[in-house]
Amino acid sequence: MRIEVKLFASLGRFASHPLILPGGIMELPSPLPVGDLVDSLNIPRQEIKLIFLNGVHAHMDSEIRDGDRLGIFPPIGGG
Amino acid sequence: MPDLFEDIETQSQTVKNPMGADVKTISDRSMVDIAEKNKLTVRVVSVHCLKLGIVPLRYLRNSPSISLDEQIILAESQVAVVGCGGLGGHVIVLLARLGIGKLLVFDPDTFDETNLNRQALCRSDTLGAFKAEEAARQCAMINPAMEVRSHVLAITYPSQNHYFSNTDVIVDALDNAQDRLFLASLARDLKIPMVHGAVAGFEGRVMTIAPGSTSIETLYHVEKTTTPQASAEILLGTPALAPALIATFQTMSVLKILLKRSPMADNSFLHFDLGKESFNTFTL
Repeated sequence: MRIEVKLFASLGRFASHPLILPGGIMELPSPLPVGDLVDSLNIPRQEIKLIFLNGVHAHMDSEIRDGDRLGIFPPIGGG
Repeated sequence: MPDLFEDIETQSQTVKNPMGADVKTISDRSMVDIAEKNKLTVRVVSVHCLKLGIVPLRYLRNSPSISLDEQIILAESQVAVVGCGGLGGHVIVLLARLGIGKLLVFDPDTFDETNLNRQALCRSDTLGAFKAEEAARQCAMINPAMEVRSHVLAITYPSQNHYFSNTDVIVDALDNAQDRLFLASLARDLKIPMVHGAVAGFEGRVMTIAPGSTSIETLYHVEKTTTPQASAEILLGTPALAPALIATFQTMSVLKILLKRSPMADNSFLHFDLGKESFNTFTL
C-alpha cells in the first residue's frame, strides 16, 4: 500500500530517511499503527506532539491504511 | 454636540475616490484639532465623522473592502494583544492601520538585539524600551484615533481577568506553551474568542478559538509526569517571514470575528510552510 507522510517543522530532518520516497510517499506491505511507522523512521516519540491522519487528529495507536495522508508535528510555540 | 457636528462638517473636504465618485473626507489634523477643542479623544471624533458619512482620509483606501458601517464597528471594538514580540508587533501595527478603536497590549519584557531579526516594533532606537510601552508609542504615530493602554506585565494570574473587561477578541501572541495555556483558560473563563498563532522556522499556524472551547489544550497540554519536549522554534529559530505571515492571518481572523464575516471554525488550525509553499488544514 502507498501512503503520504509529512513531517513538519523540526521533524523535517527525519524526512531524508531512505524509506521515504520523493513527495513524502512511502510504500508499505500492510496497515500498521502510527507508532510502528514512527519507530521505523527513527523519530524519537518524545519529539512528537500532534499526529493527523487525513487531516484529522489521530494517535500513536491509530492504524494507517492504504492511501492515508499522515502528518506529524513537534510542539510549536514560537512568537 | 451641535458645535462638534458643525466643526466636523466645516473641516470635511469632498474628494474623488479611486472609482471617481465624490466622498466627504476629513484629515487626521482636523480630527485632532476638533478633539482638542471639544475635549474628546480622536477616536470618539473619528466615530462621529464616520456616523455622519465623513470618511477619515486614513480609512479611504480601506473601502469598499471594509465598508463605512464596518469601519464604525472596528472603531468601537476593543482588542487585547498579549505579547508584543514577533507576532504581536506585526498584529499591533496591522490593527492600528485597520482602525481598531481600542487596543490593550501586554508584555513584561524590553527589546534586546536578538529581537531585531523579526519583531516589527524592535529597532536600533527602541532597544531597551519596554515592548508594551513602545507599542503604544508607535500606534500613536500610526493612528491617533486608536486608544492604546499598555501593561508592562505578564498574564499569569486569574486575578488579572479585570484587565480584559469589554474586550471583543484576545490575540495570543505569546512564545511559550505555559503562558499560552494560561491565557486560553482566562479567555475561556471570560467567554472571549481568542486567535492563536505560533511559529517555528519558516512554518507557523493560526487557529481561532471560540468562546468556551478547550481546543488549545490539545496543542499544548503536557502530562506533569513527562519530561518537557523541546519546542520546534528552539531547534529551528524564528526568521522574520513566518511571524509576519502568521500575524497577518491572525489579524484577518480578528477582523472576521469583529465583523461577523464567517462562523468561527473552531477545532481546526491552518498550518503554513513557507519553505514548501504549502498550507494545510488540520482538525483537532
